[in-house]
Amino acid sequence: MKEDLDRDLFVAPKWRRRLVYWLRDHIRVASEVSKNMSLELSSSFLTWFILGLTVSFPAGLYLAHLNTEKAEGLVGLTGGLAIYFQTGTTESEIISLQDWITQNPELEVKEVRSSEKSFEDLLSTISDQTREPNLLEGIDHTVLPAIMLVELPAGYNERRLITLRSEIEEFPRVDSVVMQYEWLERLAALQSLIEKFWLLSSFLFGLASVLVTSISISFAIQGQLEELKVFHFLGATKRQVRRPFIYLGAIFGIGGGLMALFILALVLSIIEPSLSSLDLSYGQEGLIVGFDLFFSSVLILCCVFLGIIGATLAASRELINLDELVS
Amino acid sequence: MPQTPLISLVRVSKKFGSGQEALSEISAEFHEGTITYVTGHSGAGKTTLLRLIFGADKASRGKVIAADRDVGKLTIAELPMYRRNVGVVFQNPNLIFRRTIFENVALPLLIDGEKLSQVEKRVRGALSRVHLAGRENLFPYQLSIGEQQRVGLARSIVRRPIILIADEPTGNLDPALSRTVFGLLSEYSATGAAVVVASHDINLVAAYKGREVSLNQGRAVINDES
Ligand SMILES: Nc1ncnc2c1ncn2[C@@H]1O[C@H](COP(=O)(O)OP(=O)(O)OP(=O)(O)O)[C@@H](O)[C@H]1O
Ligand SMILES: [Mg+2]
Repeated sequence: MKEDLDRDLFVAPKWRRRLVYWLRDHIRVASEVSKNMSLELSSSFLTWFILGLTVSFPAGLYLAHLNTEKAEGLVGLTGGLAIYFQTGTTESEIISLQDWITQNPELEVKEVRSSEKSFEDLLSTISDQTREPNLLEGIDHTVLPAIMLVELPAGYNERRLITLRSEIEEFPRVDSVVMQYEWLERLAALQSLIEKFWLLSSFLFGLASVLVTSISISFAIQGQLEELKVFHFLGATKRQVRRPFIYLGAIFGIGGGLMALFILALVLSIIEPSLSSLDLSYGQEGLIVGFDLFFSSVLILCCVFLGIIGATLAASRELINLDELVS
Repeated sequence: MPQTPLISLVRVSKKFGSGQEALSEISAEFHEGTITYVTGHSGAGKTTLLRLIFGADKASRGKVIAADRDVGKLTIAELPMYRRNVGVVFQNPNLIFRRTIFENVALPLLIDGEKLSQVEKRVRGALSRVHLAGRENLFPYQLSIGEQQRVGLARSIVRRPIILIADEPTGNLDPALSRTVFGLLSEYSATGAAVVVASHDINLVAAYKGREVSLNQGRAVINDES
């Protein structure tokens, strides 16, 4: 009989056994938590929904951010290049550049203005405004550079534009190339605005979802305090007592993430027809980019992470002094 | 007894806040295979003494030694491991009402990470020891108070702990049931464990063989009668 009793009071088990115990405990907790969840599906669903709503906002902004990057190619936002030649550039030199440009079917030479023509334009502008036709008399008529204006098609992205510019600048007699990219600048401003808004809302809404899970889990802990007290005096470690709630946090995260994906899919399916009626589409890709498997997985992972943080917070707030409950 | 005691209290005092000492300068030893009854009127410090052994509280002065370790100095990681060797029974059986009898008794083994086949075997063994075999699938509310108390006892011995402490385990029971529980406790001590039972029922204690530590105003009178 005597040999039956456990005598090694403080000897911690070897790590291999510990690993086995640890795995068994995880399996036990996982099965228990899923059983409890299925019993309280409606309240869990509510938490998922609130989490999903909270998370879908920054996630949606992130998609908007991605898509304004794509919007560089949207119709109506075309740009162009103004090529300034050195003074004294001959007609044939200009034509050779023009030929090179027109080899690229995407580009269109809008206008070629010789240096004389530029001077005439200037002259007429000045005389219109000052009624002093002889103001520029005696000045060389070729003092102004010849200019060629090239129009870019829709969808010409920033990187290709920059390459094109440096190629043109290599040409002999080209003095400078000015990109008329106001639209790009405007888009960049919009992008950085959305980006800032996205980062800020990620932070705030992330905080909100941590709080939501933390509160739900606090309630769950309070509802089971008697049971946890028993677990504790039966020799469960702090981690073991906490484990079911960490799992619960992770499950809230998964549910919230799925809910957020559902909400986003719904919103996108609603706004997509209006986008296509605006005729903003370009190329073969879908209207909205980025709403894919990778995005979904990252979103769910983030939610799981937030859920676990919320659970940890709740556990560290609620699970203090379990010993005082022993009686 | 020649062997070193499993638990010794060395001049243990416990004071709560600014109040009077609940225990003062208590020295006592608890050996394997013995049962000790801690008696005394209400407020004498019985629960306090058991809580010190269990590591739920720390002595203000003196030491509680279990298997050569100072229980008051165990780390947060060590304390649960120690408790896995200490079965506890309270006046209130502290069963979990949404779990079956089987699940309640299995809890300590599941906490340890025991194999399920082993859990099954041990739970059945513990339940038959307290004469509750066949009730595995009932819920606690389907049992009488006395039966619930025995389920609590089964849960506390299912690990075969070397130390068993019981705080007023018969507080809610009629005399016949009280005797059953005391009988089971003394049976368990015969398997080699150190059993410590707090009770204010002097007549009941007198009816059983064992040592008595009688607390009075925080001081102990040890009465060896075995
Ligand atoms: N947590 C605490 N804080 C302050 N005083 C306490 C605390 N726990 C116990 N005491 C005091 O210590 C003394 C001993 O209490 P204890 O619970 O050990 O008595 P007891 O012998 O178990 O009594 P009973 O038979 O009524 O259970 C009492 O005066 C009690 O008021
Ligand atoms: Mg008491």
